[in-house]
Amino acid sequence: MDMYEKLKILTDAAKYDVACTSSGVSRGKGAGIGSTNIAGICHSWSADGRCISLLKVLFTNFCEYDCAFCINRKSNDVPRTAFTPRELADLTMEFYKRNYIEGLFVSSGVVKDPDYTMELIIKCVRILRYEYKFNGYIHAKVIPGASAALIDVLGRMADRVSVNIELPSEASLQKLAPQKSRAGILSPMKTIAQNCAVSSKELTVYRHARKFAPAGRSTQMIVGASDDTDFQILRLTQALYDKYRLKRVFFSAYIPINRDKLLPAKDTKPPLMREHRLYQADWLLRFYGFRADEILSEKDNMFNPLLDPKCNWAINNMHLFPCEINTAPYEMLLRVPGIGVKSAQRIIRARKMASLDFDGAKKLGVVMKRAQYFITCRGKSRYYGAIDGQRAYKMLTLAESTAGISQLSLFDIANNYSDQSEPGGASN
Amino acid sequence: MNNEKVIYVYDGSFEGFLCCVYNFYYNRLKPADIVPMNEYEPSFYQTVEIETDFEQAYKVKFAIEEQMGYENLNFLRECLLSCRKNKEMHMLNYAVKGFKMGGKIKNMLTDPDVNRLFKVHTHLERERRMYLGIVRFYKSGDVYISCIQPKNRILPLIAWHFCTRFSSQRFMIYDKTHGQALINSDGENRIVFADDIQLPPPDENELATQKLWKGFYDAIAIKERYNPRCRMSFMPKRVWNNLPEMGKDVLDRQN
Ligand code: SF4
Repeated sequence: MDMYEKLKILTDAAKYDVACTSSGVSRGKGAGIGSTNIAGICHSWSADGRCISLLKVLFTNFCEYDCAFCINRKSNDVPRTAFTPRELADLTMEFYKRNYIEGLFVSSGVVKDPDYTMELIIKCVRILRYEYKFNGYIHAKVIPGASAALIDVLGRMADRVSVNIELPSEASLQKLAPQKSRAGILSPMKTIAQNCAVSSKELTVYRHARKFAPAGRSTQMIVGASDDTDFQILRLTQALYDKYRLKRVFFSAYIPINRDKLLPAKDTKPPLMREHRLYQADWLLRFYGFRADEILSEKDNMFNPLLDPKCNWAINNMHLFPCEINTAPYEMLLRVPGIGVKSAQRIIRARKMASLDFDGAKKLGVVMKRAQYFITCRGKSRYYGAIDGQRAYKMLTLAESTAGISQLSLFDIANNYSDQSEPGGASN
Repeated sequence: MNNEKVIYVYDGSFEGFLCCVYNFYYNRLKPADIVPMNEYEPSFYQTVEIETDFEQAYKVKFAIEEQMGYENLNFLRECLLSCRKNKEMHMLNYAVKGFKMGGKIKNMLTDPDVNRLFKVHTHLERERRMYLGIVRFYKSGDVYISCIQPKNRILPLIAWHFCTRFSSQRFMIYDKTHGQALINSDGENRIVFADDIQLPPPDENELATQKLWKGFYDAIAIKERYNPRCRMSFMPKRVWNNLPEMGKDVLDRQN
């Protein structure tokens, strides 16, 4: 098979994997070629509007496993192929030198067994790092079930390593990916977390020790293939940040590829809105100081499709509002719908100079359409009459539906994948 | 100082602009506009030609740094690379206010003068970021060549990034809009002015590599999520010319 065909097949097989950021580590000139950028760089945008930063491919789409949701599962009849370690290393270099990409993101089906597969990936990464002196970004996926020693070797050469958690609960994992157990996924995650801790200790002792996955670890899970609730997913996400110190959790709306009685029917639309809401809520967890049980609860366990999670929270907590732009602490500003991290920071900067009125706040990027129900400027409200939750809810959902939900969500969804841009219309 | 009947014409350089500031204070003559020589069109305004005098420029530079700090000096220097009309007037107003307010001027985001210049800078910054990603090289012999057409003069702003990343590679980035080229070879780099460069032809197997890249680009898109409007907002049509992956798009043809 020629390289062109191979690349097409192995890209096609990898495209549902969402993590494609190149951020989190900054490395300047080394002996060889390449550098990394702390904020990540997008090199192109595909026809679905997603940022292309890394050469994202599978090493091979041969697979011993039979996960129900996966296009590469053993029982599927699809063309199969594999790179050799050198082929993939060469391709990465050719693309990199032309500034097509920030680096490589390699994942793989399981050939023979997890360790054998890991060794192939390691060989490729080793050629890049040591033979070609490649200093660019490498994100490698750990194969569930691989031995701790191999994970360590890989983690010391890559910038980011990740293990896909795939499904939000043990029960759905057992149903849909019987060969992978929750333990099999969590144990490499634990190994990785430990290695990171050891590595930062080593770094203080030996200055030249290579840092383990300096850009951190991430995972992704599929939304909509199983019947887990949004609350379950969000709580798991929070635990992954708290307990396993992950840098990012990615969500991927399930796109039915296989006909399987365990899965939603093949004509099911991918739950893009739900995915969008999850990213919005994820942003609230990471940057806005929210906890999962403030956003949803056991009883109220699914997102409101009509309203973003932050507005939804605010409406249920009207007793905390209105909040005065000129005096509210930073943490409170962050909780106001229509105010994002950037505009909150700008407010703090600007109000030291002069007290702000509505025009001023608007100039700083506050979205009045949402914020007006929740703020005062110099003690004045812009909204006439009493503000109660019900009225605000009506106005806000009206605003979102006239903006056109489908339009809005489709337009914003692509943002979710990059590290820098917030899911639009959302948390701010 | 409210005589607004004159226009300053300067040479377009940062030093030249600093001399405009100098003249503004020295002659107490507020200009209606400040325009670079090559964009000047005669009008009923009286023109004052500002000679670039390095001593004057140095004095102003020193004063800005002392009154407002290095950060603001650098901010002004970058703003001059913008393609926006009237940027010089915004810069002058910013500087004048800065001399009064000191370093905290950069926090006065709601002030109209400050706000205007910040918008100029944001526009520039956004294009700079995009170009870090969308510069595309092709190989010709042992040199990598790229041709770009940015709106703003971003070449000086992206030079460091590319010279660090590809320090061992011989390359040239040619800014066709502004007739400038960044050249890196044998550990040295510089920006040269060059209005009309004949770019060397690509290597024979360059097309094969571009085809691989395009193959990857087409395969990575998810059909069920096709969203051309979103793509366009990140990567406007005017930059497609320089992107091999945008040659022909399978999905575009289908829809
Ligand atoms: S192990 Fe990975 S590649 Fe193989 S079937 Fe499961 S999800 Fe797909």
